[in-house]
Amino acid sequence: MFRINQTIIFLMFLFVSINLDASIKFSERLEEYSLENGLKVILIEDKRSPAVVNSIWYRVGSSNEVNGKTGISHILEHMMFKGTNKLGPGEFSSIVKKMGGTDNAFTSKDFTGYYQKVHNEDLERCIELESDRMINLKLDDNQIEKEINVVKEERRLRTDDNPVSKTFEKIMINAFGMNKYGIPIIGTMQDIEDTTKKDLEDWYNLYYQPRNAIVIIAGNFDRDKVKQYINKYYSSIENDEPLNLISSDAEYISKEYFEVQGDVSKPVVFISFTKPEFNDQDPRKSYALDLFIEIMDGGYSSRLTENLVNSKKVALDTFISNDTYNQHDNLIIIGGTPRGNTTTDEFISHVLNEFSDESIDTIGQEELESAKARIKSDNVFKFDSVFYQAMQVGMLETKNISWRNLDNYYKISETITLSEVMSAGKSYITQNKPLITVLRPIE
Amino acid sequence: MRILFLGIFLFFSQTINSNPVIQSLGDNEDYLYVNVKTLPIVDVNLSLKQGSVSDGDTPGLTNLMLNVLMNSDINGKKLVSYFENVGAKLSYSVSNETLSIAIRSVSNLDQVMMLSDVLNSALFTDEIDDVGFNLQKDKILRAISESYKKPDSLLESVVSEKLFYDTPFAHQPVGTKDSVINISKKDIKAHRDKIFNLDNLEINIVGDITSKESKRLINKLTNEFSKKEVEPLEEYKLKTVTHHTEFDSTQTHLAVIIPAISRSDPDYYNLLVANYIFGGSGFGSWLMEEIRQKRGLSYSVYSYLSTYQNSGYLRISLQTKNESINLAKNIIREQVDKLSRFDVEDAKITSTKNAILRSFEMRADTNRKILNLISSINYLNLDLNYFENYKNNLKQVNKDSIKAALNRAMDFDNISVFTVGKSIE
Repeated sequence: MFRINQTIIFLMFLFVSINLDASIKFSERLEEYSLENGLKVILIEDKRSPAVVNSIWYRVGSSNEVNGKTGISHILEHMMFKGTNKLGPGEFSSIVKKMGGTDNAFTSKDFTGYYQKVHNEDLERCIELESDRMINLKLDDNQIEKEINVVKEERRLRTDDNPVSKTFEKIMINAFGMNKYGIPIIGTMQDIEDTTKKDLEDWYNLYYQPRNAIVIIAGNFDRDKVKQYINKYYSSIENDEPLNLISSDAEYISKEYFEVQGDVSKPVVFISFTKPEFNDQDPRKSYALDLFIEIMDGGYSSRLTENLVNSKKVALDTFISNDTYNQHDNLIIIGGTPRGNTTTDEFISHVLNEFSDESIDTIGQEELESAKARIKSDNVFKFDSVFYQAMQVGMLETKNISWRNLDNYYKISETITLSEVMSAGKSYITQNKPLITVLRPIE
Repeated sequence: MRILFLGIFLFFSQTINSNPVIQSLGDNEDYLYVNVKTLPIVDVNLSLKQGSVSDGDTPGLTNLMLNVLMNSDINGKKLVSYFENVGAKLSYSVSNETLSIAIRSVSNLDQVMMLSDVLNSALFTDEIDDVGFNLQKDKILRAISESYKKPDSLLESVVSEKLFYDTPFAHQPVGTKDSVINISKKDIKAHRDKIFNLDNLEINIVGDITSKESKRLINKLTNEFSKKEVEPLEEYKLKTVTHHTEFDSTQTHLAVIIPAISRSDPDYYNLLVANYIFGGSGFGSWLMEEIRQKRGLSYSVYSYLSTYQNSGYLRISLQTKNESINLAKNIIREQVDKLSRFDVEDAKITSTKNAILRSFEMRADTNRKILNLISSINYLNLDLNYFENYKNNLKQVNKDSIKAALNRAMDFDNISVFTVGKSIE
């Protein structure tokens, strides 16, 4: 039954186009500077609550690792909670907990990050603690042995007992070998087991230096006081010898098609396309690709859902995985689950057909405007979480991509034309050769 | 333009009070509202106090009904299209006790009103087409099949089935294959007519919207709902079970359940502090120290109080390689014994209370969290002075009150233990 009020629909389009013209910008709340030792500092003000996030980001992740030493960035992240010359194992977290705060850390392909979310009255202590573990980490054999067991359990939980994660891992290794983004963040089970104290010390000494780090503080703080604290606790830390980054060059042969068996109820298909690194000087093409992907699979009303799930009934679900700001060659992975009697070959053919020149040429202005509307709103929604604000800035800065791209993203996306979107889709996907993987239920 | 400009200006000049001011709208305690102007966002949550417990003899009925309605076509377009085309978000879920729908939009009243209008059209549509209905069924059947392929989700199903045997809580909201496959469109409509009841409905609004506008919004959202007599939830008692499910995985997943209290029980604050020390606060808690820090047995180990309207329990969860599960169980048993004795120094209790109070000041730091908080307050019929009450109640907690509460409110003689994993000889 049709109940919707037509007048309201008309007004909706009118008002939305006016209302969303404005956006919130990082540049209106952010200050950046560097200390003489090269430590970069970014302060993001948001005074909605007394909470503040103190975070530090090191430009090191799994993409810096080499075959035989995979997972070391992640193990070191765990060991950073195991004490310093001043603190015992676990004491860092206990202090934060007594403040009523929370702390955690994360490792990615490009960075390792640590944060505490605390009341702003406790910020100085957190800055002091974080600076302490930049130079005074104590690596103890007994603690390393126990933590390696924890990381092995983490690998079992996240990867070994999870067929889809395991397949993603195999796809990345197939595409890039044990190089850069091909290296699994958690590392192979063998490499985790073989990690030594010396490996961890070397990794720490090589990468945990002020010039390889960014301090990002987001939330409610007194700007002058924070600058004093940062100066007090970080400015005297010196860099060791110049960074001599390890480069990895493992040989590999990439297969165009392979299958994996796992404990799943239905097959899952993955169609991957290699994508070059993000170009900071010319982001337009990357942002056009983002809009293209948004049109194809950005929501439940996007093309893949509308055409393959709802109309043709050949898919139960679809997905596209893409990182806009990749520092090295990466994959755009398109996939989903065939529905009913649709075979995996038929499913692949249907998906690829959606990315054919003929199909892309039918994208209309209305679809582009809908995708842009979502990007505009997300540009407002993303400011709800203080932690996420720090996260967005950190994820770019650790790749040596300026946070200004976050503000420009919305501005540039606004001006991207339909023909740029179509051209991005064709050049990144249609004109490239896919790597195809099928995860099948165990027979 | 004027409204948005005001919102942005306030973003830089206004600091949210640590305690959001909660108002009930139109003297109706089921409609709660918090005005937050610091971001140009409006969040709306509709919650029906009828989750999968209202499925009756048809497990999964409420969940399938909601998924079918939320994927309705309105004037030839999917409901979700109306949201996505203007950059708004629509989300929905079914838990045991509630059915919940959430809207997030930039603060444009006309837009929010329009979205509420289409949402209402979908909820009360008479046109359920076969294509959409069958698609949602297929998706749910696949989700059920997948849930039996993962040790963690399989564990959830087993816990519900055994612990709540013969009660409306015995199945997961997603239902069972046998049941979902037989649900018809007629069943969906009949169930909608049964549970879409004004007396079951709660609405929570947070954001850059006035109370007057919120009242208008509520009128729009509620105008199709009728009033019916509400059936109270049945009282039930948790079963005591020890159960292992064989599964070909590298890890065994463990759940230990100790019967406890409902959320409105006065012992809640005592157990909150006890659980914080026991396993509810990550690093430094007894469980984390003994299982992960001292022995490296598990990546994740924790406990939490799960409280329903008529019951509740303390649950301990971990996962460890199959070879280590017996050791892990023994350690958990020792720690549960330690909890029941609770010989904890006063200083530890004081520092724990201080930490909880301090974290409470930071708890409402996003619009989303404020919405979740007032939704819980609404559902559990807590006082609107919740924030002050919380602090005052916590301040009353001491060692003697915790020991008395553990003795009174926790049933240590009826502990259930569930495992899913591969048995090692």
